[in-house]
Amino acid sequence: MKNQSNTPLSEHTQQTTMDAASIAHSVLFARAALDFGAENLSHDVSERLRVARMHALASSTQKTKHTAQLSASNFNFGSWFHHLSAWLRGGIAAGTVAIAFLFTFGATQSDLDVLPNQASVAATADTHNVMATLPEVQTTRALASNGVANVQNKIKHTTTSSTHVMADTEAPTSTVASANPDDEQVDIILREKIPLQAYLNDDFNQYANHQVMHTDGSDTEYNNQSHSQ
Amino acid sequence: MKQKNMVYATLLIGALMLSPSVFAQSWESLSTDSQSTLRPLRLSWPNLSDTQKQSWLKRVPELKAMPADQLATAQERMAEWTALSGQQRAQVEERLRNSKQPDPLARAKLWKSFTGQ
Repeated sequence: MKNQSNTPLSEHTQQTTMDAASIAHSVLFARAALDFGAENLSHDVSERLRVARMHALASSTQKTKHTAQLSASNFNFGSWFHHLSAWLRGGIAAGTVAIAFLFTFGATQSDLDVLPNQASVAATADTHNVMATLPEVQTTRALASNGVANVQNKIKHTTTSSTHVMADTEAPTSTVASANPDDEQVDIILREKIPLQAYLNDDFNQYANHQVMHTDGSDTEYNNQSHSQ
Repeated sequence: MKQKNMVYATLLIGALMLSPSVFAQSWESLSTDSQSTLRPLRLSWPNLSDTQKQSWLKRVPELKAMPADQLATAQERMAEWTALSGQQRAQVEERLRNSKQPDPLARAKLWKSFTGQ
């Protein structure tokens, strides 16, 4: 068996072990010397050292707390977003834009495609919605024309009985609340049975108003007579 | 910081680009049904506001479901409306809103009696 203690590697290992051992011995010696010195310090000096150590510890703790508070207060959307990777930020931005895109075009298409289904379902409910949303001034008119016609249209579409179908209720009626002035304008245009030019004719407007007032007056007179009898 | 601002700017520009005003529907982009139903509005379509366009487009299904004679009447009204000037439209709208006879059918009877038909 060959003695390996004489190889260069073995010598190097042995040298390193000796160095480590000598360093450890030196450290132990230095610590012992310091401990001995500390024990021989006066009470005044050791007390000062203790107080200084306490101050250092206290200031270190305060700094740590302050840093934690600062980092907590800076945790807003900007810093949070800023700490994300570039790819993640890009993905979030693209997702937001895509959602906005879908929402916009989805709403536009729903106006065109979904409304027929909604119209039959919501016809009755719309009558109440219109009543709830329109100003009080318009409520009377809506009751007289739009609301009644909506209900009658609903009856026409959902029943087969001819007794409930009224021929004069086939005017195009609003299936949407007329809170929007443009919707109301379209509603007025589509509901009208006579040429719009008629309303530019002053003679016709005077005639119509006169006829309505005359009819109201007759009714009032008739009612008065009924009450007196 | 610059990256953050760029991201915010991108989001803002994207939202603006996707707003309905930017993607206003042109006449050519409408479906065939919408074009045929709203045919009288074709020439004045570019001059309508976005909300007006939406109001008309909402009525397309309703108009499509109407009998042919009623659709013809509605399209006559549309054609008349487009032919009116802005002042005339305002006048017609005001008189219709303030009419003492709110029922269109009763107004039609009055018109018949006025014209002697």
